[in-house]
Amino acid sequence: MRFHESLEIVEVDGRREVRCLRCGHGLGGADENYKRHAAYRERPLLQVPSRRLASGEPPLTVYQEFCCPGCGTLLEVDDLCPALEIPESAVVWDIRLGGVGATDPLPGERAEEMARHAPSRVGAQPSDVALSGASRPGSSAGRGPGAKLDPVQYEIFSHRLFHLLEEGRIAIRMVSGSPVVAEGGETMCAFYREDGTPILVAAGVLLHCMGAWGFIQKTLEWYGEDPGIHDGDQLLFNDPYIGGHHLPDQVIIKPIFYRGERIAWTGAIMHTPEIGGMEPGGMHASTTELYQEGIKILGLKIVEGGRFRPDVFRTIVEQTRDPQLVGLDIKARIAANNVCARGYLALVEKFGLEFVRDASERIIQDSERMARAKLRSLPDGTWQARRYGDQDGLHERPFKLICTMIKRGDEVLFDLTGSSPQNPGSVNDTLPATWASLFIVLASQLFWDVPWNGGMFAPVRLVAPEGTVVHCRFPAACSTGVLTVGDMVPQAAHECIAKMFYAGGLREDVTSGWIGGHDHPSFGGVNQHGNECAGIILDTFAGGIGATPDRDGIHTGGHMKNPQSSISDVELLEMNLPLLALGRRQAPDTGGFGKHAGGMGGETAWLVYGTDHFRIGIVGVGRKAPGGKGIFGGYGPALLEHRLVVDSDIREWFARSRAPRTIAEAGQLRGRLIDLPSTVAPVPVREGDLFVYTWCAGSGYGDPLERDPARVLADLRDGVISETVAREIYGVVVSEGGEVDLAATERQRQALRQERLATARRPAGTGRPG
Amino acid sequence: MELPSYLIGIDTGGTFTDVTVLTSAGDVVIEKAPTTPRDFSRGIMEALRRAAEAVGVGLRELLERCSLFKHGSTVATNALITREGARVGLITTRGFEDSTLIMRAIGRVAGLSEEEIKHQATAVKPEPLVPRARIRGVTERIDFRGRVVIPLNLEEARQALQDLIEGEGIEALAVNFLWGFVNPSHEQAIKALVAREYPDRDLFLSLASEICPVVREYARSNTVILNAFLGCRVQGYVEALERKLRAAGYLRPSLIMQANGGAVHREEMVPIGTLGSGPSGGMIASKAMADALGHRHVITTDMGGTSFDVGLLVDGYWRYQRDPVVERFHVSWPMIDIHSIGAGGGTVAWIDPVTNRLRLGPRSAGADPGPVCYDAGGTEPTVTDTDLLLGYLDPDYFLGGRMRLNRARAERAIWERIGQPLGMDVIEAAAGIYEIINGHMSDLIRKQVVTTGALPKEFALYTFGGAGPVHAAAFARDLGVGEIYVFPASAVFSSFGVAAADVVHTRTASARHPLPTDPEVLSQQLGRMEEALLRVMAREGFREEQVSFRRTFLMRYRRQVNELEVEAPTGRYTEAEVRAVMERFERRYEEVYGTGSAYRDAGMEVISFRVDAIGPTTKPALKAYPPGSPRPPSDARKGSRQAFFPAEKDFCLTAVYEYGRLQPGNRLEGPAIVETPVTTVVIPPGAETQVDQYLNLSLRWVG
Repeated sequence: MRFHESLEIVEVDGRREVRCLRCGHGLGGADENYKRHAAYRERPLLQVPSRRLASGEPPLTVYQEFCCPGCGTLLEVDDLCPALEIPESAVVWDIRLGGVGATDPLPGERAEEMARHAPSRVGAQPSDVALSGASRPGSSAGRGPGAKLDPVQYEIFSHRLFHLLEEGRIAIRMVSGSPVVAEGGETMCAFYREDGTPILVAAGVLLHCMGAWGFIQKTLEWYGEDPGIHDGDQLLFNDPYIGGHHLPDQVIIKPIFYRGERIAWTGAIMHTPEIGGMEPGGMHASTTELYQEGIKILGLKIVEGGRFRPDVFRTIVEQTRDPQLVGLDIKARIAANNVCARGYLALVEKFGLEFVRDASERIIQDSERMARAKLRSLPDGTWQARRYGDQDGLHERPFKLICTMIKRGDEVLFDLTGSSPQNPGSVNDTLPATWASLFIVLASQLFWDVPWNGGMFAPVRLVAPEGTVVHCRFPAACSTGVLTVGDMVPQAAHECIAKMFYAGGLREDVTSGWIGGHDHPSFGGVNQHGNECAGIILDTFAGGIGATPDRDGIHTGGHMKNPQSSISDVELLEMNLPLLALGRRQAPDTGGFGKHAGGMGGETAWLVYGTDHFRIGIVGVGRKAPGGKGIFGGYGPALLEHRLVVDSDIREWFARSRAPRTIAEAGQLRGRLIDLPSTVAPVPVREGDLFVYTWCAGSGYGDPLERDPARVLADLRDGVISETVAREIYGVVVSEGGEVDLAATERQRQALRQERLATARRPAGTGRPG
Repeated sequence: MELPSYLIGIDTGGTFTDVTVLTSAGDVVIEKAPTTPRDFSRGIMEALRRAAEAVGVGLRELLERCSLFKHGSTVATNALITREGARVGLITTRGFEDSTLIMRAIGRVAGLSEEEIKHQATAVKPEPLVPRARIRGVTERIDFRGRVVIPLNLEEARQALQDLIEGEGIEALAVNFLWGFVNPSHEQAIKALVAREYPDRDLFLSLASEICPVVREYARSNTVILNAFLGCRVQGYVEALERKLRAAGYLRPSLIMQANGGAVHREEMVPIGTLGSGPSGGMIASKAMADALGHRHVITTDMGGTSFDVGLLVDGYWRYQRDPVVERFHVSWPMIDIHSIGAGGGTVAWIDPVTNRLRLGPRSAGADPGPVCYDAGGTEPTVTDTDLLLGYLDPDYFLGGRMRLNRARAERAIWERIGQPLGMDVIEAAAGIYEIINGHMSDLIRKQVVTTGALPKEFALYTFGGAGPVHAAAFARDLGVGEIYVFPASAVFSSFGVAAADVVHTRTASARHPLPTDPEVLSQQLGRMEEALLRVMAREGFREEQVSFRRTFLMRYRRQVNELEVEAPTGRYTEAEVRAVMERFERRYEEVYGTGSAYRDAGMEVISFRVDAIGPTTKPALKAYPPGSPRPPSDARKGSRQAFFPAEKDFCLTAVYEYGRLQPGNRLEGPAIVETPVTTVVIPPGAETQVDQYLNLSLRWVG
């Protein structure tokens, strides 16, 4: 059974063993960690071409390379942070296929935790309740899947419901002032049952599909009696400890009433990039408590009984630095809710209330059925992935994320036990934020073909121990969690899922790591028109995508959390920001090496232009530890960099018809050079200062020495890779005439394989999964 | 007696080349011939030969007496799909050579269906039209005000041209600099350099500042690249056609359809403008009809074999795409707004094995193997199979009897694949499929209508395409639309539109002005654009007083990123006109998004202007016939058959008529079916249809 690009499991005398597909060498039994039998070496990134920082600073991690001891084929490249790992925990046991039937229980020591950490914290398990036929608050008792739904009417209803949500999203995009929304597509509209379970969700950015679930539950719990929930109300919330990722994720929920009875909810959520707090832009690099991160609203009625509340509105927007922007976004959510609620009532009028209730139930159940069927079709097993972040919000200090995925039958558990304790700064995820992060990879990869709603979560369990980076305790700061921990969770889960897909034969759906670290430049100050401005630049959304078993990853293709990732034209940014772009390009050598290479990331250079009152900062991870990881021998992306050159001689460059456009060229300017860490509070800059940063690439798939030399040559010609990488990573030798010298290439590759084996040792420790 | 003259409109589609001849007597003659993609002019000449025969004259006489010849074609679309265009090089600002490869990331999903986008692991960027090897950056930089920050490096420019022209052997050059449309001096310098150093190369040049001077550099680059890519092909096609026409007797200039809904002379044509001219022909025809019939808002629907296309006329005019995408590429070119879904006669009905849901599409059986009833190897039931089973289609009269439909086979397929698994009898299953596909279509329409601020009942619905009139009454009822129209020329609607097209030239300009503002500023902005347009229209042969203008402002609340189109008054502005525009914007905003959605405190601004200059072409008025008796002539009635109507939940005996033999004034009560060789109109119980003075069928719900 083939479970890896270069390894398979074969039956030998009744025992299941791991064998190298290239040379037949054995790597232990199928119930062992094959890496224990591999040739192992640790390589500092400084020694790997194109993997050093321009500043020369050493990264926090090294590469762990595991090769077949027989032929030297590279099997897996992991990252290791020596500061955080002891020998026993150094080696990740990343694949152990189950070989057990669907009826076997999940590991005993996990069952109790699962019960505690099941999604019941954020909503009832629809499957448990529906299948048992028990009644839910607000529903017709005893009615369950037994009632027969007209399949034709059901089909028409489902289709219409989805379109309704799309209309709501259109409304948001038109009204909002937020580029995150209009350009990034980050909006969500959804319908919920009376108890808050999502019936159907339409979302641009997949983070928000959990969205309003928790808030609806809290509203029922806190305000159901007093002041009560009435027709025409719309309630505004933002609290990452209930839902969303951080305070800028504001939601407005609206109960839908029919003939005096509350029958459903609709909600609109999106990220508004300013919410008060210590720094402009809503994502604070220097906070240590939630209290510093902005205003928090817990269910104020922004519309009450159909009447807009100007007092509530004014109080909220005037606490932020950009009342106009925040105000527009509030109006956008209100508009969307009106559109969706109106449409839902039209459906009730057309189909009847009983039908709508039953059909909504069925939509949830259908998603559950599809999710479970998908899981059943995949092999049982345990997969594990590890990621490192490179700063804790206040300092450049590493922290760790571990994701162990256990799949049995039609259920799957994501266990994040082993992740670091919560960070002192804002680099934390609350539990709802971690669920939201997990949702990204469920919606985009594992269950991409399942309509998004509560049913999709039914077969999914999450274990996130309290007090860790993935479940911080109130009042921990968490405003930058979404770009740090919140990107690492789906990365790690994705690696597990991709490997499970591979073992299950779903080759088409396997991708290596997508863009990981996501460093957003943030800014604030006075623009060239004399107006205050603050926000983030979204170039870094156009990250590289991971390679697949059959092709390279897409260059600058977008972020997994947004299926329709879109970055702004440079001209649009220059219209209202005191910046002049000197270059925006795909960055050579950034894509993860591999048999199939990861898509390139990018690089932008900005000149501060038209202001002396401006500040630029960064939020993210990926500078001192790679923001992504390859699979089956592929490498992760290059490290991210951000350089500021203050008081430079750039005008002299222009006079000589030159301009600095890259990290390297920034280093050639005269002036004060500042290498910025992954997350830093905005730094004052002035007219003529230069700011250059890179965006994350995708990761590679398979051993680079197996890459078709013709492709390596094409990459060289196209400027995708450098000569050094072509020769030292891919082992390709190019003749004087500019063609591949096949014989020399074969020799070079053999030499590199020998070198792998010659410098190898046995890895210490085993690293137990689960 | 005066000799008759003719207006000829040609639309070259993917399969057929359609021709419409409008005679000075007001008659409409339609014909078609197969399209010949290797050399489109052949199919056109053949279609003209057939049309001449139908009119009753020789080809030479038809052409000699033709006062105006207009044509729209898929030559551009074809070249794009097959990637058979010119070898293009791109010169752009140094540092931004990757702009068309980065594609703003959105290029990975632009033009894909919803299903394809959701399957994230498999969505990929398209092959670039210009590969890296043919892109050169030149050091220069202009800012948003048009100020030169870094002067153009002429030496680099020279080298870039040498690399591309001599090294890469390009046939066409696209040029786009950042903010070059505000200050075109650098782009013009490149143009001058080409003229000086390569005067004999006959290089096709496409400058952004000349073709599409609007903000947003990515779409602008795509536009000049596409224009250069298509340039030679389109020009070659036009030249070949004109040669043949001249030889056959047509000596006047011909006009070419553009995607903005107008036709232009060859010299004024911009090749990229011919993309999407097919759908725009349909919209023009619809507009001509709407103007004649007095319909202010119209939903136009085209349901063919694979897709269902919807375009709206709002306040008598079509709308332009907000963020136009051609194939997989964003462009800055006005494209008429038409939305499509995969819902056609060939759409497949299937049961999802996991959820037991009855699904329609998005897969289509296409024309090959086609629906089960075509007996061409299709095994999956389609919409056409259900239409047959429900009695709407006559198996012996499909395509005028040229093709027999196998009803028994269709019935078996629907029973085995849909009815039996769901526990429904075969007619229930067929009726269900019919209802579901109608639901899909009405959802798409509703989503479009919602963005106009008007209600469905304020719209009339025009239906064309082979399958459209079979379904239109049903999905229109669902929507709440009051009136449905079917036209005798429905099958060749696009070519009719081409024949009726005016000459239209469009200019757009990106310029931000907060409102209210000095009216003089706006008058000058618009005045400049209109002066430039008048110069072009003069070359088209129009005097100033013959040209009318249509002004559209793209406006938004300050701080918002998306904008709404608002029609603006013509002429010189005073404060009153500025106020009128602002009020109009506010009203439309709240109409669409509800009260409370407008944030006036944020302030209003106009961010770009579009002006259409319209030069009316001669069109004879549609012949209006005097209304006759409501009773159809006996030879119009072809008999009856059983047809199933979901609202009745049963079959009804339904009278069948031949469209071509109905007379103006005839009234038919539902249930009734009206047939032509290429389409079928279904009139359900509770509806009635009337033949109007133009021989159109109008359908209304009564009681």
